[in-house]
Amino acid sequence: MAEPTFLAAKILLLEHDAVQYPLLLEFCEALGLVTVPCAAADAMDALSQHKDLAGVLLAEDLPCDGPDSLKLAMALHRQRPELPIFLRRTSSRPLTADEARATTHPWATEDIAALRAHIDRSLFGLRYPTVLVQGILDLSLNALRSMFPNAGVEAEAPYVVHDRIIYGQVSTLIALESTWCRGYMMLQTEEGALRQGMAQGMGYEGVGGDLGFRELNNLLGETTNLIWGAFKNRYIPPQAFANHQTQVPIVINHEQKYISFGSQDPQLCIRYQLTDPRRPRQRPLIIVQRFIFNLLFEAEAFTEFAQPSATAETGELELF
Amino acid sequence: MAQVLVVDDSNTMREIVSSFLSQNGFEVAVANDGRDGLQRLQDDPGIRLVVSDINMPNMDGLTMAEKIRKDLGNSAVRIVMLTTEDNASMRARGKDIGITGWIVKPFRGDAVLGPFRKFCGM
Repeated sequence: MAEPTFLAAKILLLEHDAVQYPLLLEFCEALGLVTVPCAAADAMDALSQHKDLAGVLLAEDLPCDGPDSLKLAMALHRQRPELPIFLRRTSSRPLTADEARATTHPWATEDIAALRAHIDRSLFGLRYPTVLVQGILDLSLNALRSMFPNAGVEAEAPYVVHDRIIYGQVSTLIALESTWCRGYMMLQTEEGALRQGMAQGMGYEGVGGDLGFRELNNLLGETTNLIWGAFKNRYIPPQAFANHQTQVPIVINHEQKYISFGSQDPQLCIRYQLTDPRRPRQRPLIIVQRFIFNLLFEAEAFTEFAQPSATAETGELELF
Repeated sequence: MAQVLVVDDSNTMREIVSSFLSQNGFEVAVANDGRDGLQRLQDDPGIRLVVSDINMPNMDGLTMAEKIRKDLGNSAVRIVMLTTEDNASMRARGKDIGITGWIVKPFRGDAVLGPFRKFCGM
């Protein structure tokens, strides 16, 4: 649990060959790939268990129900299409279109260089400079330690993932926009574990006890804010803020089906009922529309838009 | 009557700061954005110190500070920004507005207790 910056990735290893297995383990270790070995029968379970995978190493002749492991490859692909499957080919039969779609990174047993190239391209395609990863670690640890002053906070080795599965029930999301990057930062955690940690006194004096989910959301939101602020101060130059747009964390609690945009203001909500005229007794389809003006809403400034302007009828061609 | 007004859109930060100040003998009021803060300040003439975040919905902290000085004509209340912001142009804007001080988050109570007491005449 040091604070290293070597980027790792977790790989599901579906291999049975007595020669290939140790070779692949060694190969993965050299590249910083953490292997999760498992048998074909356990593959789907392993997939549900590990939600932070970067890819799958699969042997074509892995003993399965069928003549080869391609059916399994397709099942894995259906379940988690974002994961690249590196198929070790043991036959020369052409892959069907579906099989080729599922295993976009086939390689011949004797050609480990091809596997290396596939892995470099698909797993480490986006190069994160070590100094950036280290900087992110430093500022995030500082923020976490300040929000949870009575907890021991350490970082595991940073790694890359292809999975898009949300971890836990509470997530926050904040935009990161600089001259060199644009994207979001997410923090995700388990609600129960966070509640337990706070009840045990990990947080500030006076913040703890039996917290409701809103308090827990806020806590993760503020942690996000602290990391974002530190990131911004370090990596986002003032010229990136030409429009100087304020951002606040968005907090999502999936367990509670709850999303907060950081504003206490009422949201404009309109419910639409869609019914089938041929089946008037059938329950209508409800579509709910919400407007959340969480960062700015100035009714006074809206007045200049209040008068209907001369716009073309919709669907008509307006000629100039 | 409160002595300190804590303005932050984050419940957690409001609680962290206000519970620390309360435990140390301050009377504390809270507001959840700049607009709310402006209203609280108008409603409570006893407030001598405003501790405010900057990035908040509806009205940011610097705009609130500007309105306190210009619109309310209140040059007496001390205004301290407690923010993740650390850029020079924002600080310069804060100085122009007439804020009293600037704290880059995270909040460390022990580092501010002395000056806060002084601001509140304690």
